[in-house]
Amino acid sequence: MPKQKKQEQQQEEKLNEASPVEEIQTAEIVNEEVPAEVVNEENAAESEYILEVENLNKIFPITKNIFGKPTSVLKAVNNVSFKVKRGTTIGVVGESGCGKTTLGRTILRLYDADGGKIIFNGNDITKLKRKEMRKYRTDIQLIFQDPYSSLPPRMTVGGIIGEAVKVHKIVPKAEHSEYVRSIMDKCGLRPQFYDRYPHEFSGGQRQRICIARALAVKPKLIVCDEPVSALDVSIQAQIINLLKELQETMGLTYVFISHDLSVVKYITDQILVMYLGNVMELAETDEIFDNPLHPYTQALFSAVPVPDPDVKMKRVMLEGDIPSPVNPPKGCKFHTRCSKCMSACKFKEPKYLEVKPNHFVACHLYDEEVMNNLEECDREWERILKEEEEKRAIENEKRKFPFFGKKKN
Amino acid sequence: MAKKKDTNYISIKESRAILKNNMRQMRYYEKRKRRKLPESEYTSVMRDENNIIELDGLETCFFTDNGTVMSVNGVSFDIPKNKIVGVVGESGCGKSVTSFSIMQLVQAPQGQVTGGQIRFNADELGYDEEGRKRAYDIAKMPTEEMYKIRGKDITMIFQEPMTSLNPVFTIGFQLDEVSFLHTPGISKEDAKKKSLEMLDKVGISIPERVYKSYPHELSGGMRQRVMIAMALAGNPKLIIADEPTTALDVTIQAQILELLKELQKEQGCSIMLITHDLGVIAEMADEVVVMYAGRVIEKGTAQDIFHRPLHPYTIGLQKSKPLITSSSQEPLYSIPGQVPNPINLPDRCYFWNRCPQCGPKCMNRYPSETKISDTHYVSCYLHEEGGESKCQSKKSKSSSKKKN
Ligand SMILES: Nc1ncnc2c1ncn2[C@@H]1O[C@H](COP(=O)(O)OP(=O)(O)OP(=O)(O)O)[C@@H](O)[C@H]1O
Ligand SMILES: Nc1ncnc2c1ncn2[C@@H]1O[C@H](COP(=O)(O)OP(=O)(O)O)[C@@H](O)[C@H]1O
Ligand code: SF4
Ligand code: SF4
Ligand SMILES: [Mg+2]
Ligand SMILES: [Mg+2]
Repeated sequence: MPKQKKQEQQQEEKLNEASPVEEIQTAEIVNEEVPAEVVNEENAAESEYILEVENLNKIFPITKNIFGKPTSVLKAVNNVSFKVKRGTTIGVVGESGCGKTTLGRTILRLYDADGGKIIFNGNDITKLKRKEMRKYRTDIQLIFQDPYSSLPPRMTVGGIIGEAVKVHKIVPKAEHSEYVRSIMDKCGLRPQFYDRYPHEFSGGQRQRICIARALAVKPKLIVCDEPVSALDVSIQAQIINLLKELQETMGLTYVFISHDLSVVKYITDQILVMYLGNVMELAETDEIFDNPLHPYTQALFSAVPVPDPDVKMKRVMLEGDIPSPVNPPKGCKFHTRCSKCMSACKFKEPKYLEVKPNHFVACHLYDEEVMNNLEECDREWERILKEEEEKRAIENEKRKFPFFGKKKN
Repeated sequence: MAKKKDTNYISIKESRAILKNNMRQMRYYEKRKRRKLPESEYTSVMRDENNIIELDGLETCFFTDNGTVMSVNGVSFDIPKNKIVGVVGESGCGKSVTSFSIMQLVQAPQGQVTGGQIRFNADELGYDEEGRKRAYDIAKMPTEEMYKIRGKDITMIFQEPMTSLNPVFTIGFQLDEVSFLHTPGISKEDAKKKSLEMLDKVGISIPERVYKSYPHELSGGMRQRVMIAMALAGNPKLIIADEPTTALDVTIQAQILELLKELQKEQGCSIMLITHDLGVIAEMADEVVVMYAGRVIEKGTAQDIFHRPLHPYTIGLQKSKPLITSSSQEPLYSIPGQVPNPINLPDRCYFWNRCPQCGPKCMNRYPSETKISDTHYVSCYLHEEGGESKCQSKKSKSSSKKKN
């Protein structure tokens, strides 16, 4: 009896934590009743893709007026589209703040999308209510970057891994503890860790606990947000091997977010390159590394230091920093740092084109329509510049003579 | 007793004994630091006057409630003039504590340099009667004297520049402060001019704007540039860069590394570059020191370490990182286990429980440093004369097991 009480307490503590995951779990526990079939399950088996994302958008309001309406917004994810086949891994790469985490969290429905579609296993889950989402909650799981803060400190390892199993009734009660132990075994955690607390473990072991917690509910898709970035090299290798092994034995699909390109190259089947919320390039891993098309991809890949003192990479150095996402450049978002920038890039947003089968690029260099009409673009750009200059001149004038307009009348 | 130690539990009696010992030790070392010493007490002679720093058997301890942590345990290596020396190892290997020891910035009173020498080749000391270059021994130098060197001849760049920049003052104010410190009596205008010059030098495009900004208004890369500007202000002879790019994106990392390399050549100073990224080391360093659990386990030129690595740990580190230049899908090599906490480590190779080639000899005592070539040293029984045959038998057995 006291044991149960303790568990209840722990659960309560966990619920009080601010993280959105927990928040959603609260809702689930309260709404024990699952509504009857909301979505048709029929297309599930047919779909070749486990996850399809179409023109996904996520906007954060930055400032609001007194009515609570946003006056300026930050487009954290802007028109992102991709498809992931069952049992494969898609890598999401890009510099800090380019929207990788936001994309991952939107797919998990921890954020509500502001446009576009998320199709999981043939079912559109973009607009599902919390209650309806419950069915998919176990199918999509998340592994965080920081194994230190993502585990509740006052729960035992067994409790952490087993909690969601209990809530979602993954296995009958009698088999519960045995099931948790088998999951722990799969993730390389010794069964005697069952009753220990997270603070007793190293970073690598904590990440194993996180992976076990995600695996325990039998997910189909796992979003890994920088799962190895906080770990040492030798521990990284252990975790990467574990993730790969689990994928093979359990047929898992990963969305693998990372800024470590060598790890991404090793573990993924296709790679999505993001910059300021936009997709720059999407292609299969081998293809994109052999043949990076987008100038940003080229720069990003060439910046990775190679552990061999004799190899001197030909660097495509990027000037300056990533611009502020609140006020991104017009036209191509990358044009402020691009060495191949043309006049068209400064006002015209590049189209997202499939230049080869399964190789998508958003860059004017690969858009024949633009490349064939470069002169026209130059003229257009000059016109825009002139217009802006005139506007500025008028404004300056106004500032100098505030009564300018009136006097003339 | 032995059992208790294994599970990391300490009895009340032991705990009390530790506490008492800690108090005694800390008091002793703190007192020593405050003493006024004649110069002869804290000067020494360089082994080679072409080095800027020589670490010789450096020992730095932390007196904690769980016992004495030997964070740096007999570390010896040289930093030659005009060279970049890379220090690698996983977290907790003692890289940062080594650098803090050189700066006399180890967290006192629990952290103390307890042994060894840190010889700093200071120009003003000149030569002794036998023609040897005299040097300061930072390990014994009183705190008072250290102010002459710290921040001027030896400066430091940290991983997270936000922690070392004061958030309530503008960048300009903090940069000017550095000039005031190094050139007493400099006028305000001159200091500002110098600060702007420095900002320009580290590749900041609009120095005036950055001069007036507060640290939080800048991006991580810009802050790191400002830190480099500060570190360079006093024309240092040695810059210690402790994971200067770990918090940055690869594209910004490439910029910062390029900048460091350029400035190092231009100013003719040495850099001690601490990182866990072998790629960064390969790119930057002339010489490499590999640390494990507070000890140097292998050191040599970059060529030695990357093309002829000898210690199983060095080899393991290199194999466990996937290469961006290869598209192999083989499972990664992974070193089992983790870095031990350096409390009461028994006298045997510290890597023994993770080493695929551990032999009976490795359990007896810590392997001594073996000279492989003029530049290449390793501490491992596999490469010690006479030790090879014994370890070899076990090696073939365990390596065949690995393959399965
Ligand atoms: N809750 C939020 N409210 C407002 N802005 C946000 C919020 N979450 C993220 N952002 C902004 O959205 C952009 C994308 O952030 P995100 O965390 O997705 O980046 P990331 O690619 O994961 O970066 P990192 O590599 O640093 O983890 C950033 O500019 C960030 O400041
Ligand atoms: N303030 C401190 N108190 C106690 N132990 C410390 C302290 N700082 C560092 N240590 C210990 O010293 C060892 C080396 O640390 P450090 O030099 O920071 O490693 P790294 O190689 O990651 O820079 C670690 O085992 C760490 O636990
Ligand atoms: S569209 Fe223009 S600016 Fe953008 S990446 Fe392509 S060439 Fe560069
Ligand atoms: S001394 Fe022995 S245990 Fe240590 S690294 Fe060498 S072979 Fe391995
Ligand atoms: Mg993120
Ligand atoms: Mg450190």
